[in-house]
Amino acid sequence: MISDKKYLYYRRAVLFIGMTSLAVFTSCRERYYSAFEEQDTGYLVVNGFINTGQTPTVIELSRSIKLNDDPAQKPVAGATVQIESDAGDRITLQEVEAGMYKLENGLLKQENKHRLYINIQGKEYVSVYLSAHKTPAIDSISWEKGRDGVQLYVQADAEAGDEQYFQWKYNETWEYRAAIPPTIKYIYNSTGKITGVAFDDAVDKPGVTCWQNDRSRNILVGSTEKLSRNIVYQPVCFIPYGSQKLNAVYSILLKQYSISKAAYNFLLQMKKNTEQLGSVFDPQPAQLLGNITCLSNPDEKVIGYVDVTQEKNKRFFLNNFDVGGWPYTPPSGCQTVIVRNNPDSIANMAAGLVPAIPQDVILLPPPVYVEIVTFVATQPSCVDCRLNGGTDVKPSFWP
Amino acid sequence: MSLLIACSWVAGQNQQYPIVSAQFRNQKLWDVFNTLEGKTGYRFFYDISKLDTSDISISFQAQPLNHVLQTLTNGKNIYFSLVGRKNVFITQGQVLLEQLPDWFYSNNPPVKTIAIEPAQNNVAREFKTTTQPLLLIGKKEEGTGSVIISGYVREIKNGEPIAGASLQIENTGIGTVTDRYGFFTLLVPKGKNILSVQSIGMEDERLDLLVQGAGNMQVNMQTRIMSLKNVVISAQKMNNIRTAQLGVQKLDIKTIKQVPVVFGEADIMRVLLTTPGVKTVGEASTGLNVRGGAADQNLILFNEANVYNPSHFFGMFSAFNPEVIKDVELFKGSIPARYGGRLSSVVNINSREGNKKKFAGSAGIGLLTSRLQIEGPIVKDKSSFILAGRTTYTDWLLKQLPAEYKNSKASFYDVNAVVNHEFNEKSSINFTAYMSRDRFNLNTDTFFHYKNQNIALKWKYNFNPRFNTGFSVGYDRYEYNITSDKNPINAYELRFDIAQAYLRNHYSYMINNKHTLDFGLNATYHKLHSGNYYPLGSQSLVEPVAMPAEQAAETALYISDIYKITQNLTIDGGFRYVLYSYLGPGTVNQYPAGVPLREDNITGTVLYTANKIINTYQGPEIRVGLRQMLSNTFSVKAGYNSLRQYIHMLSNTAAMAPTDIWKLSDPNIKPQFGDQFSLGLYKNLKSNTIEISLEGYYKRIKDYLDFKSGAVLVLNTHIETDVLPTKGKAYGVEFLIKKSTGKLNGWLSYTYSRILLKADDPSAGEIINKGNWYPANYDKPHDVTLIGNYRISHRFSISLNSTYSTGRPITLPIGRFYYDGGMRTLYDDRNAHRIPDYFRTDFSMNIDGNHKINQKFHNSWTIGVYNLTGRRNPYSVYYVSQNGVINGYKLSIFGSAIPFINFNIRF
Repeated sequence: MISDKKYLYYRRAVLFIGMTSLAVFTSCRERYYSAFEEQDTGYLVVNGFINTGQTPTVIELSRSIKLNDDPAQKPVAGATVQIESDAGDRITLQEVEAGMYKLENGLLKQENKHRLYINIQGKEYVSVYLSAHKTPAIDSISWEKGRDGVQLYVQADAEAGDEQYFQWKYNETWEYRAAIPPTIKYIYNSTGKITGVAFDDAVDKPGVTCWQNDRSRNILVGSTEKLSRNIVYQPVCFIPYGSQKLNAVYSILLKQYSISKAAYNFLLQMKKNTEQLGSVFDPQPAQLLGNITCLSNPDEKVIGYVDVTQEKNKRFFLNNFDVGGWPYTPPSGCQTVIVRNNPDSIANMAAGLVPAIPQDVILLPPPVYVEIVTFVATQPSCVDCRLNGGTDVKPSFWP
Repeated sequence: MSLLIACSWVAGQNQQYPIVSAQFRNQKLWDVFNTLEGKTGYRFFYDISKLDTSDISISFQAQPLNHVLQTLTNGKNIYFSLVGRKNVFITQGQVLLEQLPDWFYSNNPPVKTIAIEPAQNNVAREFKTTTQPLLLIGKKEEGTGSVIISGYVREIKNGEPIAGASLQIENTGIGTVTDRYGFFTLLVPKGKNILSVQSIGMEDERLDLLVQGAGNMQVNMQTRIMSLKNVVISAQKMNNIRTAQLGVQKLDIKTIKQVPVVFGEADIMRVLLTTPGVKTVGEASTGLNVRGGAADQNLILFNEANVYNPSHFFGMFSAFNPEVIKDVELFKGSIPARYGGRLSSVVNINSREGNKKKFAGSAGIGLLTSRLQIEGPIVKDKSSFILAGRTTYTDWLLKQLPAEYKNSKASFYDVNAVVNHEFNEKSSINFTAYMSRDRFNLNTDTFFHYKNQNIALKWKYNFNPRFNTGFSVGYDRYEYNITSDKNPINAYELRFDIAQAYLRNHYSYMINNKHTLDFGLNATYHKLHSGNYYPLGSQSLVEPVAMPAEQAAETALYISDIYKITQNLTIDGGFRYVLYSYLGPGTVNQYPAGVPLREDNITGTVLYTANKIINTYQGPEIRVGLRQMLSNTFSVKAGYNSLRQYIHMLSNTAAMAPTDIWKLSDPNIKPQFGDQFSLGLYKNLKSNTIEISLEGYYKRIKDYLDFKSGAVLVLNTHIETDVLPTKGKAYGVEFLIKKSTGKLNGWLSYTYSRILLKADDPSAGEIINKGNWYPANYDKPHDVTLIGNYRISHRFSISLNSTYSTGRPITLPIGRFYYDGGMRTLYDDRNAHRIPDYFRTDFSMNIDGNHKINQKFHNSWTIGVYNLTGRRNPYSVYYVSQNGVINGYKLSIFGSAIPFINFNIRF
């Protein structure tokens, strides 16, 4: 389905002309499958920046692939990746996983110019020597609740410096609960057959509270060049109404980077090329020109702009009740079935389902306090939040 | 019945007329003439069938004959002329006999002695040789040879001049076409001639002339109310064969109104698109691409006023109200030397003149727009006005939208005023004012407004029938603004405007029947602001940015001569010299010689004071057309044209958007230069009712501006670093077969055309597609269009319009890659692919009310369906990354069949 509201707006608003007595929309947008055969491009893609700040430098190397190739990523492993400074220093990055090269922080000098050097099986690539940008700190992260969801904003005061172009990336983490936290469980006999359900008194049952995370997927850049004061106020991410992210507690680690104008233009063009096309007056896609060249073959296309800057980040928490909250159910919904607590009924009625909570109970004298006569069974994804994409291991930074 | 008559002579100022005393009782007019003839010795010439048949009772007491005749003819729509020695010509509907002053002939070829044959003078007293009586032209002169006849062709009811009417002296090669004021000049042999006059939509006129000497005349034509069965030779068709110009299309409003268009409102620009060689990038655009030209390479003139943005409503309507338009001419091959400043075409839109006899008007109601037009005399037979307006009422439609879109708005209006005044036969003036305004918002936070304003005054003066001048002044302006207020910190308004003031003086001088000279001067002062950006609201931190105004003066002198070398060979040669000066105040970025124009290469800026000439471009332009008649209905033509353009529209959207920016040539942006060779074959069949033409052309373009990847066009003080001068070549073949009369009429056109660009200069900063030729955005090689109208009865006709064209080029993704957390698309070479082909068929029915001429209201309905087959023609194809997945989409503007209905009323 089309999720991006903007295109709907365009489609409806630009092309609203209907001509019968009722308004009939005549324009339409439909999926298009190109008829031409794509060639295998395999251009080197260099993603990352040289970080002179207090976080590590991570460079990812991959190759461009066909539009419908699977798997989606084709990392370049086994390359030599180094950072060179104009003072003659040369530091090698370590490959921490296939195609990902890392250098711990604190090894680069803010005052030097740096560039990236890559050697892939004898083919050498370099970026342009650049001096480091100084990133202002993030002052605050704020939010605003609208009809469609919650919008987060970043504020930063860049008045002290002359940086005017910024990029943001973020990691989101959110806590969420199972839709029906279970209080009962199946009991099994020695042969592994279900004999019925009983209360589950375990503390910290798995799958009741989960954490999930994601990283920013869209390119987020902004500029203050047309503002009279160098103050950043920029919408960053949007949590749509009903999203799992605000089921309980939401947290964002927002990373801010001052970037060069050339890097800004590069990212803006990439953003326009991929995220903003399609309305009637939108610009046409254009070639991306980065700052990396192949030394042995200057005509070879290399994608990527390796800037030299610092990362400044800030973590921000938002509680479900802060924003008024909303209910969350898994996309499939939660079907409930009332099942008699005996093996036959369970086999007949609850195939594929799991027990959640008791329904009719008989109070009995000790030692058996309660006998469950019937219980509610539901899909596994409603009682185990791990089945909705997250993990029940609490992140270290979580309060 | 009794009769008394007496007769004597009296001396007039120049001529003696007999004095008549007579009394008539219940007599027919011809009896009166008979009596007068007998008593005065004058001979009367008249067509008895044209005379008033009512009985006359009148008496005269010692009145000179001219007074008598004045009294007799008064109010009967007949006129008398006293000619030569004792001849009286009675004519219907027009005054005939005037003569030119002697000074006029000072340059004339000597007039030879002549003896008017007595037999010629003794024309039968009642002559019904043709539809009109014999007209005697001029004062009798000595000699044989040829004399000049000039005059106007007008519509009989409202006195409006008829442009483009063809006049021909039968059985000779002598002929001409009226100019836009209906004026003509012919050099004809003395003696008896038959003049046939034809114009589209008019009854043919055939006049017997007895040419005694130089003189002038007026031809009144009647609008054809009923179609005649006989063959009609259209002036325009003959024109196509005979002129030395290539690549000219002329369409009158009647033809335009027959072609079905979306929403049912006659639309000039859309009809132009059905003619060969004219294309557009897509349905939501009225930007024309003529013979491989960009949308900004067309000079669009409405009564001399330059309309910068000729569209409303995202291009779904053209800016011209069909109720005001008379006709439109498109010059795409031979561009007359009087026009310049744009590379590919001139679209010359002429308004009608208001009715000089009585008040009239018309109105139309469609589902989205309605229009009203009134016209009438200010001083009867001397001056007239037209006032017309259009508006939309789409907000009702938008209210039907779901709540979240209810705030979308779109509307426009336009107003036309045209005033004509004729001081006398020699001098007339035309005043035109035009204004249009559009507003729309695409989503709820950004509003777009734009408006055109034009005012023009033109004075026309005829020194004599062969030498006339036009003098026009005007002011044209276009502006837009965008406001956005959703984010209070970034709320802004962006304004932009472009204007020009001009003065044009044109002379046309017919030296003799071999040479017609046109010459004159155009002077234009351009001024534009390419952006003024300022905060909106008190919270906004937007820093105002005002792009400095740019100004320039463009002056051109031109001369052209239509030289009839032989009866069959004509050359139309023109020369235009243009001087362009970019003027201060302004700042110009300096770059070292030979390095790419990049921001980091700017060595400084130079500030220029007001009215200082910053730099100058100049150069000649050549316009030549050659025509050789191979037979009466077959001609071959060749032409060469060169043009220069100093004003550029900067747009990197596919369509012509209202927000496009204009830029003047400056030291860092060279003017565009283009030249074109063309060749054409023209053949008319079936008494000129079927016209066939085949034209080919090859065009070279220099310094056409394409854009570097990621160009920033708005508020860019160093725009030269973001544009890329390219070389271009365009070539093509255009075929047209057209039948303009009969029950079944219409045309079929086929165009093959290419436009290729090349950016291969490394010092320009970027090479596109490895320096190879690549197609421009609007390159659509094949195009076939059929326009067909079939008249079932006089009140009911149907039209079918069908068009096919190759899909336009597009830059498509050839792969993807992972970057900053998402899948990104990798694009191929610029314009290396094409969107699917375009095909559309429209159908409409015109139902007229009854045709009684004298009823108060005439009404008609237009009902039809646009895009009958409901084909989802792609406007664009694009790929978006949605949640890390790349999906391709096809956007269609009109994705289904659209019924429409329009009601028109004329009063």
